[in-house]
Amino acid sequence: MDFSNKRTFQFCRTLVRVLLSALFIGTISSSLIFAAQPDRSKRAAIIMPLAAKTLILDLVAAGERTVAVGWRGHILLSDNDGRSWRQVKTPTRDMLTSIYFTDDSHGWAVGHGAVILATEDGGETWELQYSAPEEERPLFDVIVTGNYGFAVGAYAKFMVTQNGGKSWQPSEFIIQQDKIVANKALVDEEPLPFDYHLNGIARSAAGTCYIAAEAGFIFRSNDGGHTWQELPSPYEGSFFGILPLDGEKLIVYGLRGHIFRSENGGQNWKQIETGTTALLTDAATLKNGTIIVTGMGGVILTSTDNGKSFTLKQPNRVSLTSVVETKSGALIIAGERGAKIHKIAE
Amino acid sequence: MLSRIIPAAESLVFRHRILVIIAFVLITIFMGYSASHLKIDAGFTKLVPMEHEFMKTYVRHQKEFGGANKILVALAPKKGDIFTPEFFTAIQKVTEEVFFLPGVDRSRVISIFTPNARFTEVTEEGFAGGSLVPADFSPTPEFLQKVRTNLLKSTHIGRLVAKDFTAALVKTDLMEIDPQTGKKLNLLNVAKRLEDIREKYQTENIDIHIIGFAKVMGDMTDGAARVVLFFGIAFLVTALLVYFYTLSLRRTGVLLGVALIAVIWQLGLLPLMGFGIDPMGILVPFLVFAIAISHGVQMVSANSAGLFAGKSPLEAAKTSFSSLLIPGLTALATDTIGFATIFLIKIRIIQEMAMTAGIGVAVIILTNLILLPVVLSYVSANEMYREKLKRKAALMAPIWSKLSSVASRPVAAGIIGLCLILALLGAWKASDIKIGDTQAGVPELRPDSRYNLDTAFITKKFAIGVDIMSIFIEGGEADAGVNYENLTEVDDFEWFLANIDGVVYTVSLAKYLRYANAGWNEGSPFWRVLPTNQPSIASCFLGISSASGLMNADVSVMPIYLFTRDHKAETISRIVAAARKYRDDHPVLSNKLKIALMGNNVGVMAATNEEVQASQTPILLYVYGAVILFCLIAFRSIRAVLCILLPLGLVSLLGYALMAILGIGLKVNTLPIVALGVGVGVDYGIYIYASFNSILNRGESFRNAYEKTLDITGNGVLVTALSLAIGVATWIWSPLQFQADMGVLLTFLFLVNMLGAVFVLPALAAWLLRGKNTAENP
Repeated sequence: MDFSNKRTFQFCRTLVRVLLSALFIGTISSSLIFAAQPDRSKRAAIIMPLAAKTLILDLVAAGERTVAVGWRGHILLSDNDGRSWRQVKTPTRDMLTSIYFTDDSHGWAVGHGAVILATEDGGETWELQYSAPEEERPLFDVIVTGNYGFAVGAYAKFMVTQNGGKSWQPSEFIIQQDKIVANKALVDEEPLPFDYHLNGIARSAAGTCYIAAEAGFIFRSNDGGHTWQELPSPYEGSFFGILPLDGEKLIVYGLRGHIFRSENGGQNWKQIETGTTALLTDAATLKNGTIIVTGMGGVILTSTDNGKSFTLKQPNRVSLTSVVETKSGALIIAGERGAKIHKIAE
Repeated sequence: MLSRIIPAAESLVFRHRILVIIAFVLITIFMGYSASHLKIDAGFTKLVPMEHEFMKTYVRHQKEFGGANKILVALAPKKGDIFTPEFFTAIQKVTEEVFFLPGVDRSRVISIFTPNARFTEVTEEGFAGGSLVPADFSPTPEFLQKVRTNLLKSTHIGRLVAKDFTAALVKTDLMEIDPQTGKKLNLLNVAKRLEDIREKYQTENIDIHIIGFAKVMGDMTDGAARVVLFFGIAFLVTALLVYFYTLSLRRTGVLLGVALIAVIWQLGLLPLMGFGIDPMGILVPFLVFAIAISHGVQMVSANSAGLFAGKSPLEAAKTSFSSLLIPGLTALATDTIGFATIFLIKIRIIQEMAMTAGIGVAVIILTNLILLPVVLSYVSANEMYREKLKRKAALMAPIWSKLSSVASRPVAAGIIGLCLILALLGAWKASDIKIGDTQAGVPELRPDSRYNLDTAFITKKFAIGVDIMSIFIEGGEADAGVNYENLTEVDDFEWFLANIDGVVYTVSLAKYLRYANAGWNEGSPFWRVLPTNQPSIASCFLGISSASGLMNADVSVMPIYLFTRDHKAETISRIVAAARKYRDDHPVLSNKLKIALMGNNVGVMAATNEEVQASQTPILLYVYGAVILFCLIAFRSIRAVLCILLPLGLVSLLGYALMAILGIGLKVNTLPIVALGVGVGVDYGIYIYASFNSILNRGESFRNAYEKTLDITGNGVLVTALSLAIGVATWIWSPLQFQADMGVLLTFLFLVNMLGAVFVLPALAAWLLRGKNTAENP
């Protein structure tokens, strides 16, 4: 796929969006006042009985415990492998999209309003470290390794910490110049600033970092996430995550049921048949080597051959967003109706 | 004063007996003619309290958001799924038929074949979408497959088609006024047309299930027609018992004839006053008949007593007229005014019942107190008849003598003690009475009726039930819904509502916009949040119009729809209480939005339940108020009032206890029954008390006086109560559940009121009427 074409295409799409919006405002809205952004990000979440039954966006295992984040600033804890969930107080009512733990007790959750929450007690209490709702650039993923950590989000939002997640600063998403320059020649004018959504972070066992992004962009970092190289992309549609396998092998997944597999760290890709056109949301490798990929519309893809082929199961049409294996080996899958234990055999 | 009025009335009535009879005959012919124009009149707004806050909200938004008067037609193949050419042809035809039903809001007809049933999907290019069934559809396998894929991309699974693709729905709203004729919509006609659709399109492969308010009314009317049969049975039973009582064919004929005339007048007056007869109010004519019989029996009884004493028919008629004028007038005036006060309950159907029952009883004043004695004055008695009466009196005398022991103080004390225990038990049970519906489906119909089976089918097959409440967020200005802060507040409120126990699912503009925002962002769940700025909010509006029901045309009003687990009163009241509390805590949302409660079918039920609950006490207060007032006027004694009132009160209490035990909820159609029961009971009490008191005043001993009372009056009360109870007991076999419930309740009320008047009243009198002839009390 030619990069310039992709760029042009994406540009057109953005343009259409803006034009449509403008057109629509013209017809329906007489008073075009841009609302002052409310300080919604700093309103505490409400403890509600259905919090555990509504949209969850991410799951993580923190020691024996499983922690889930979701809509309306919900954070839920389960100490029995997802059989029951307990909502805890959080300082925001914004949707939380992702959660990451470095050990049993230290963790971060990020989300809309660019909120970053932190816990030091295994998820019982949360502190708001950062928020910037006025930017309208939600965060979608976060990782902390030693002192350095970063969070990514919409329109190339990139936040970093240099002190092991005690504080966070907005930063630039730096793409190594040679790639961009190479493209520049193909586009007559100044390159568009890179402002695509960065959807998901992955880190291989060897420490290589990857980012799956909008419009088929895939990035790789060999220095732990400080600088990034653009990888050749097999697809113009958006990617939502990357799952590093053993060695340099990895899979990337995204829009309309697309999975691509690479054996050389993302230099060459091969499309894997999935049998679905649902958006794929998350992936995990279990202790027994089975790979599970979740998707919208109840899609569960299973691979027992290291991602070379997948079998599709769709027991119902409840959209799924996240999959995690707990310390005791239970498989928990979350989605728009909460999270619960899942048996692979079914 | 009375001593002058009664003779004056007597001479007025009896001087021109022929004229009186001719006048009655002429009026009856006229009323009969008028009654033949009586129409069945079922209406939605009649059953609901239109002045309730919720109903005002409902009416305010009915035009833009449709009402609670919906129709759902489900088509289901007997085998396999819906993707067959035969099924698609059928649902297309049914959709067209529903579209052309009278009173249908055409913009709100929806099925997989209507253009407003759409799907959307996210592609690499953004949004794509279209009608579920393409415009160039023909029932080929390719097109059927295409529809299946479109359905999978839509939100209609579980709504327009069953979760497992084994049924599909055609839905619409009915309007109160038929736009074609400009007149009030004839629901029964709609019900008939729906039944025609079922007839026409139900095949050996496809089942059709129809639910909706119009269908309920249709089914109820069909069932209510059976009431004529029950009326016939009651009439025969009454005739038989009255004959055994009077031992005279002529007297039986006269009595039943006069009672029928009262019913004819009552029915004839309805069209003259612009009323129809409602299926719910079908018991009123029966009640009028019952009351006419119970008064007539007293008149015949007094008349026979005169004949027995050797008077001429005219003299006997005059005596019975004079002696019964006051108690009869008191009892009937109490009934009339008592029923009329029920009019203060602000539900139209109850007002209609109050009105028609009040008119009916007023008519009885004329027929029973004037026509009946005049006709009886022509019925002579020969020696043989006197002989028959004598033998019967001799036969019954020992029974009356035994029964009269209730008027002796020791027995009376026992009875009063028993009543106290019953009252306590009754009060304990009566407190369990439920307001509103206690079961799923339509409780007016039998649980196994076609309609309730259809309801169960549709509820089972489709994800969301048929029980919906809507809460309106009123912005007060155009584009109130195109604003992030406003939408956030709506979203917060909706989430609060979704968390109430009993709410299964919610839908609102805010929720739609969250999904649309995700749609604009490739369908990613990360973006299932409200769009934060004006341009992105605006773009999210592209897919919808006000026809979606999520907003009105200028986006100033946004409803939140709550799909509730059922429509049991406790579920409804819990949700309403929570919503009210939220509104109290948040008088305005986002500084300008108002929360308006509430519409749709469960909203209407909530309003009705609240009105019924609020009316429960007043309705009894009014009726008892009338009883107290008229008894005081007639007997000028507080003790007399207590003697008549206390047994009635006990019966009312036990009536409520019975409802609680049988699981009959207090609803619009059961609310007036206990009050109407008081009307029947008070007649018995007044007659017995009046007769007892007048005999006591002649200086008879307490027990002797009661023995004589039983012979003349109690006798009649027993016969009346028995015949009427047997008559209504047949209603238990009615195809309508609410009629069966009424049958049980009325049977109970007739019998227990009789027991109260015959046993409890004299027992109370034995202790309350102290000093009166007690010295001779054996």
